[in-house]
Amino acid sequence: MMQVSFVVNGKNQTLSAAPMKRLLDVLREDLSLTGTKEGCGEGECGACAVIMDGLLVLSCMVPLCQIQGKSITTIEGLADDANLHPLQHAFHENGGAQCGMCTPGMILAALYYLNNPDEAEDLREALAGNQCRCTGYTRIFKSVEAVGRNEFRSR
Amino acid sequence: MSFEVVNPHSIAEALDALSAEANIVPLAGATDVMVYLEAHSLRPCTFLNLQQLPELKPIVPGSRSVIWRSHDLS
Repeated sequence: MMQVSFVVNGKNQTLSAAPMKRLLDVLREDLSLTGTKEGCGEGECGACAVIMDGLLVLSCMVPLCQIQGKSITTIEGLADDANLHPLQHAFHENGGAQCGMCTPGMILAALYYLNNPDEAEDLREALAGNQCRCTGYTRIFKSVEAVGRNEFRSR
Repeated sequence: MSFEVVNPHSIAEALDALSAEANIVPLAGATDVMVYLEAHSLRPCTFLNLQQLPELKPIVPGSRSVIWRSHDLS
């Protein structure tokens, strides 16, 4: 067992668990933050993406022993008490989510892209690491582009 | 299956741990290791966690080689 302290969605957390336990499982099992989804579990599909110290990471690929002192944002950290984040609002309005499995990772990848637009050639490249088997991507791109044009506010 | 992790605070400490223990495996970005762990295809071992070592953070161009920054993330 290893004890680590880190921050999730602005809240300090300290817990003990196996040192190679996946951040994905720490979030879902130890912290009951089940918004982060497990898709492939092999770093291929993007469903488990979260933001750690400002960078987009796949939580199925991050062991507990490497999160000491890190600050993590999950999908639960985007909306405030009463208001959806603009990306959540846009996905809702535009049909950007169907089954919902890819949606948390997709939204965090989109958020990362909007905050770091120079790191990808375009939106399609930015979301290339996130697989969606429902929407055909068009509605997802439409949602993110609308937020990029400031068409959606928190609500 | 039990996996332990050692967190060295310097390269010197990391090298000491590497020579002191037989069944020890350096761990940097961990991506492949996480896949193998999930597939239960690794024998129990101790990982030597290199990610937090400040000495491995910068990219250092040399005359004949480049020492890369240990990737922050997976």
